[in-house]
Amino acid sequence: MRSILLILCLFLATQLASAQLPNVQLKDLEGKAVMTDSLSDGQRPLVMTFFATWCKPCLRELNAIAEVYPDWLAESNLRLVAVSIDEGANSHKVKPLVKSRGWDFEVLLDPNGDLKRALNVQVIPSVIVLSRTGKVIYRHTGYTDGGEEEIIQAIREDETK
Amino acid sequence: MSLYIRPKHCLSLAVAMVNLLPSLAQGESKNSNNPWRLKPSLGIQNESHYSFAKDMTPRLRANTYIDAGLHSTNLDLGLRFESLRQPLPGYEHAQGWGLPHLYAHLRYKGQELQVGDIYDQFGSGMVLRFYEDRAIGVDNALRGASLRLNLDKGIRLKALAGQQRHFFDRGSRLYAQERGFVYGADTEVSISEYIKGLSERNTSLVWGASFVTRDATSHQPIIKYDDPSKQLRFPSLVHAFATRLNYKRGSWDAYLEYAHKSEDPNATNDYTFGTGQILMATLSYSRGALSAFVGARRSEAFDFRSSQHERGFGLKINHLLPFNTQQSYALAGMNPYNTQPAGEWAWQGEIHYRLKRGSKLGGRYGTQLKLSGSYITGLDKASTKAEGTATLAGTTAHSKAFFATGDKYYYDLTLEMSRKISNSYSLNLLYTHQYYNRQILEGYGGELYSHTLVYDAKHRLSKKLSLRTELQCRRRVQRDTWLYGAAELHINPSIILSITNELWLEEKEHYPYLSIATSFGSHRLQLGVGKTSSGMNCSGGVCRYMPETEGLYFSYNFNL
Repeated sequence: MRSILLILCLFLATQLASAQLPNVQLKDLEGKAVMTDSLSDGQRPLVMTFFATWCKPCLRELNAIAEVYPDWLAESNLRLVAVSIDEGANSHKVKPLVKSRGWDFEVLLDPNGDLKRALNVQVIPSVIVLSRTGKVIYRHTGYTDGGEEEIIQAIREDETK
Repeated sequence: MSLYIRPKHCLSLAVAMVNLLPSLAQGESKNSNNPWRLKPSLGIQNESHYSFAKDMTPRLRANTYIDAGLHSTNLDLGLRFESLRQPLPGYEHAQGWGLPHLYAHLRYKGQELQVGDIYDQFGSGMVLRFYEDRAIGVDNALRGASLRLNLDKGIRLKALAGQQRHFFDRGSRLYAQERGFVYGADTEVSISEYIKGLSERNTSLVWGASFVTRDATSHQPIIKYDDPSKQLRFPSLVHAFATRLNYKRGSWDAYLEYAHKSEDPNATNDYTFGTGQILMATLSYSRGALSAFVGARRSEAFDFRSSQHERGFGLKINHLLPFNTQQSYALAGMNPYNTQPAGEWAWQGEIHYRLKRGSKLGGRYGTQLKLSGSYITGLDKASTKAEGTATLAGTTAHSKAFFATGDKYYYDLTLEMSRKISNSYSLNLLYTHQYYNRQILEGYGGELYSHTLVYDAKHRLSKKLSLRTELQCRRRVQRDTWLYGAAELHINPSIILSITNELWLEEKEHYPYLSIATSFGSHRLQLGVGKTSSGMNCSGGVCRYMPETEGLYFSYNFNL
């Protein structure tokens, strides 16, 4: 009975809750420290996607986003950040992969899964979109072909409000 | 004095959170710049399996995790409820339920104090890594306190102390009196901030050092086999030290890390008294269409735990990831290599090359090529074991020479090509040749040589529909042949219907699996039926570890 009540209370909470970007220190590909709460700067929408070099759906998603990224930038001043959860020595494989694919968006390294855990991301790829004001306006786990269109659509809808 | 967490406390906390939430949500727009304004978060994950096998009891098994928290710029509070009362197949070692994770983080001007269950990593994790990986049932969080200081000009200091989690053994106690404690400190200095010439030439040079101590009392006497009157005297403290250097300039990135551990007789090293060492070096180059990575790691006797008698998953302080090519496809990853705690020499490398769009070889949209390989052997080790002695316990085992190598454990050579042919068709081809010494690594099965071919294609049928097809074939030389086929229909925006079959040709053993996955808002749901072998599965639009199953499979994720 207690367990049911606990679950019910938590479910009710879902109707009222709102999220914010956690404050975790990560590094970019040049080794510079980046505080994640500064990514949402109050000026631009933020698209954050979690990936790993061994995750094929993640690479498909990022390839698809890379193709439309110039169009997105022409339409919106959004900021795109791809967060790698590759562990240990594998985090040193991220830069070669990113550069060889010609991806020119920001990439951060999260080798101990600190940001991933703080955002309750359990499966990848996982994308989170925040509006200019830092409110989560879109969240999606998994990649369906053409799914990147949902990201820019969420930003468009939020901007017209 | 022991402190207890009672179920009524959990319920009170949940009720308090729900009462707070309306005022927090309403107050958000008025006080959005208040660094103490708390906002809630919630994550729910449930993985369930109903087995068709009548002899499996219980037939319904599930792993459930609920993460709840309150967050602001300066303060985070949170807890996790877990229920693995009847855990999924493969997670029996983690059986239990309760509130194993609680935390409070206080931040002020770039400094942070954490109290409760802590996750952290020093360097690459070779002396200390506290992390959670639900897919493989690992959570070795440290319950205690941690202080992180970010000083001016690129100096970072960390200090922590506490006791690791060991599944649900603490019950409602805050600490398990019978287990050991871990203390650690780490510093990282951005040297390039202090040397003007380096920062002017866009060069980054970062140095780090870590020190970790384990204090574990051994209550179990170990008798020396060759002299039953003698008992081993365990060192009261075990220390580990590591230092690292990372140099980045332009297209180059070099990393070097060395670790040393004092005498640590434990169940994994047969209670021998040798010291442990790890040396790892990586180098990468990235310029234009070409990039390359090469790495080497020599590790010896570095199984480092909170307890001398623990084996398997539990109580690991450090983490040595397998130092080889990561495989993404089911059959290519059929015999995954695991780091050998006794020691190994491991080498790996990869080259990426992008053939330009519009070029003769690259085609209209360009082509991505990747060549990777890894090679791992044991260490050439001489021991002081006397003839006729059944155990090495109590002896000192020394390696013969730094560059000496022993038995071959594993190698692979993998070639991969990705190419978009047209707007509606793109493909990925992979070939990998692997060697896996099952006899040494698992204790049976001889040496396995295999060739694996993968064809992975995407067909865009319409604006809303696309089909992904996959064909894999793995031939284990003089053993057997495995085939794998998959068809995945993507219905935009959020539905994926997939059917897969894995076939062991010689035994005519099929592993068919049908699943449907969908996402709506913050929810993700997947329902599957069939039979699967264990391994990494990248279908349904996500990558996840799947245990061996036969039955109905349900997966639910919610994040807010």
